[in-house]
Amino acid sequence: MSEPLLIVRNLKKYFPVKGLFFTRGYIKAVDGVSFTVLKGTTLALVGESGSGKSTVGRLVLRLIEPDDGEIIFSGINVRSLKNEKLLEFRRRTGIVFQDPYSSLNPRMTIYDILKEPLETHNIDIENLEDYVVKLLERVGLGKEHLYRYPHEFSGGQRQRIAIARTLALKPELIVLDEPTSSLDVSVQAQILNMLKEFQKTDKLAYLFITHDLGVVRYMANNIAVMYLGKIVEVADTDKIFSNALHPYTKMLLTSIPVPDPKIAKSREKSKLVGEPPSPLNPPPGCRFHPRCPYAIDICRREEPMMIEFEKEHFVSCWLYIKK
Amino acid sequence: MQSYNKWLFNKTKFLTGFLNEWKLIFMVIRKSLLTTIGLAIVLGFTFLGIIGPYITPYDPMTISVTSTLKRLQPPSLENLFGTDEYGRDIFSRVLYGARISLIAALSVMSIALPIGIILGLVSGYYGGIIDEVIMRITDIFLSFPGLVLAIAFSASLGAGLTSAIIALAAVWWPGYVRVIRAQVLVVKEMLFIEAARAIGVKTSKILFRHILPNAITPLLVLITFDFGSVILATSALSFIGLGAQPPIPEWGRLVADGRKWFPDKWWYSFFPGLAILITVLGFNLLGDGIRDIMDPRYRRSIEVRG
Amino acid sequence: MNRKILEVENLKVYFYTYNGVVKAVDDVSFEIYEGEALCLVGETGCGKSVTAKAITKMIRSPGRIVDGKILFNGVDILKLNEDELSRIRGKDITYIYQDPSNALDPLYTAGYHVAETIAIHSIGIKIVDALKKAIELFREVLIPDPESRVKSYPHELSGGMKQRVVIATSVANVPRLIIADEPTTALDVTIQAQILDILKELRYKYNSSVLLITHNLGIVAEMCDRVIVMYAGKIVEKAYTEELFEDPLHPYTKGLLNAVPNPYKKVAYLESIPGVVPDMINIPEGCRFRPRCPYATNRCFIEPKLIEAKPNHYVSCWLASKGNEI
Repeated sequence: MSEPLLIVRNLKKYFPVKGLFFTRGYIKAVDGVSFTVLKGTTLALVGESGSGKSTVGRLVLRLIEPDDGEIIFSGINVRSLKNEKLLEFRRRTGIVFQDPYSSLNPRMTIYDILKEPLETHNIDIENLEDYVVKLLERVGLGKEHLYRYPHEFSGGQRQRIAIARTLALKPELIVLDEPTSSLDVSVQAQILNMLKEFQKTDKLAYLFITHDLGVVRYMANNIAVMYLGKIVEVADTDKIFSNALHPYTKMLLTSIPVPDPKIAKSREKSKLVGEPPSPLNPPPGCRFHPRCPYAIDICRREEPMMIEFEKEHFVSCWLYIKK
Repeated sequence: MQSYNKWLFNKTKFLTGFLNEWKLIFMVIRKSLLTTIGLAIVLGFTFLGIIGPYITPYDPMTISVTSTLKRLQPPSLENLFGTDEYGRDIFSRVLYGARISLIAALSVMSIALPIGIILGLVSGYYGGIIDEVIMRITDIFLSFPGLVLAIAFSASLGAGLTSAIIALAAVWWPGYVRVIRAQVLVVKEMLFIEAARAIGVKTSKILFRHILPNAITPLLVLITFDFGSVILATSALSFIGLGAQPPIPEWGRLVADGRKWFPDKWWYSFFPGLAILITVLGFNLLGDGIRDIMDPRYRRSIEVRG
Repeated sequence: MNRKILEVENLKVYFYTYNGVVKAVDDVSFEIYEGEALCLVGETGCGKSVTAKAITKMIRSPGRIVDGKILFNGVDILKLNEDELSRIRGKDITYIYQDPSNALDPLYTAGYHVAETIAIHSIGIKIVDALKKAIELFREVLIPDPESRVKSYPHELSGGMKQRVVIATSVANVPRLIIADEPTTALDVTIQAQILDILKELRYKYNSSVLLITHNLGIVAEMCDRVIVMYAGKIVEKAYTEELFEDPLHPYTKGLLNAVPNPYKKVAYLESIPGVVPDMINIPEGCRFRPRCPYATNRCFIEPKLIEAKPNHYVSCWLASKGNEI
């Protein structure tokens, strides 16, 4: 059994909304999120826009400073790191962003981009160029691409370069923020296969942020479903797909158009009504209750807590909490 | 020696990052006559500024007994632009003046640009109090009409080309802060900046390696226009007596000197004035052209063949 | 059998750029029947969006419609002038685009957009009546509280709401054909489901045909009666939806279907299509998919034609159409 690499407890991030003279309120983008990523495995953070999943990815790497909560990476308290210790943390982690068109500096050659992490961490390598070429070859590019500029590459190729950049330092945890959402289907498949392979060979842990449940099924060992800043359900992949508990998770599953006409044409009409509420004024009680077809009285008044409904299957919903 | 070659190679590689821009620049030049004219004027001005003093037919500075015999002669084959009240060849003086203008402009820019860029970078990247302080100071400077401020500085520093240069640099740097800051605000939200932070790159390196090269493009247009403006401003200061002092043949100074004999001996003020006009026009035309290149919509329209 | 409402014949749209000629759509022919939903599927650069725009001649420089006919109700609309075309656009043929923020003018209310399109295409209708109709339409597209929503400005509406307003504008004049270009790509999954439901209902209610352009095979499976698969400016396969998913004939279609991760099937390995889409300026000789095709033979250096390999199942591939060649 894998051991935990990243433990997150009660993570919070509130963004102040400034009025004319004073702060009008807070966007509770991440409001008490807890999860664990085991070594060499993938935890998928699933949710729609406004769920806070991208913010969590950045908080975990301290690209944004958390307001509250604990982040423990390999036994180290991440929030208290400074200077060299922080730099060390940066070496052991990496991130791949959604947009391949703005994640590479257009004024730098691929060689510059790939050797920057090594230079930043003062890593001395005998033959730097060779090492970088090997990196490129791992992601399916070649020596001829070394001195070219990002604008000469397609989206899929740029994403490969971004992945090569994170691999340069041989990290242990990589946060992937919708890495294939803006790519074509066939390119996505290539990239996903590559990521899976690297996970096996390099023993990488992934925090995979996405809204695409098909991708999640293929890539993730465990899934955490987020809604409006909170985690509503956590379980391993098979359990989520075979026995989703939270109404939102169920809605999510029934909403995805399945590439199989027999199943797709029989999809029930979406029972969901309305739009996700504004994160500025989340509704009282359970945040999902205005859209939930199963909402009961207590859902409107009190926020449910996270319970372990069955082994390794956590959910935050009054329907499952016995009095 | 090895490492120097490597350094040079790397620096030129950095420039080829702008290769895409160069290709487009040549495309535009082919399509736009005015821009080409502007470029020609600018290149000509620079060329003359460098080698001018070596090719003057006469010594632009010294007054000799013999030369005073030829005072205030109209333009002729011997003296293309005529002579001044001391018999000096105005053509030579104007030619020499190109170098003065070139040096003045370069000096002003090389003082104002680094100050403006660094302040703009810091202000845009850090935000908060630093941003407020820098921007308020910048605003104070910008609230004065540039030339008036330059006159004030120049007068207080004493007449002379050096004080004029310092005064102009002090007036020019705030404009750059604004432009750079605006670009920095855009660039710092880009994902590759976040990626650099995620790698652990030091802030100073992020500012100069990542943000600056990507924030500088609108500045290129501004710098081109500003070269012309600075030359004009230097001439203005010299014209009212605060800039270059005789015998330095700064163009504005020459125009001022020639006023005494205007309109009889028209050539005295005319040719230096013409030089100013053409040079500034050249920079403006070139600046217009570069700005058009940078505009993506214009780019698309020139991508059409036939 | 339903009648044809739109027939595209040998459409060619080329883009003349400084780097060369991009043959974005290169000899594409298909037909749309009354009341059906036809999907144009393909990846980036296959030409599906360009085809959609070309149908009402909305191609801007450096693009040009080089050849082809678009027969709408028997009339070649490519030959019509702007005036005549503007009578068709917004009334008989309407569009829904990917990003609703770009489709709505931020200076006008949501209700105004719908009322405007009604007023333009009806003679002598009062604005008051047009606005009343707008409220009705808002109700149909499930915008809550339509009476006050008609007064909302686009920036006050969420993405899903905006797209509903766009849908309302597109059905306001009971069009014969609705062209939807990636209408839900910019929306969340749960909102997407609602929007697709609305589109389905409206289609049945008004008996409009829908030309749906997408790269999402799940949407294809759910929404469409027939599918056209495009690759590098050409049609490679055309069939009824169930038939296509059950028995894809073209290697590209097969590859595409395998590459889509299906949430209901756990697979150990996602079969991807090797290589990348071809450079549209230097198109490979013969079949455009040849460089990436695992079954390519020497025959494939000659461009295959679209042939009916099975009843109502057309494919453009030498391998698939063996025995059915003319």
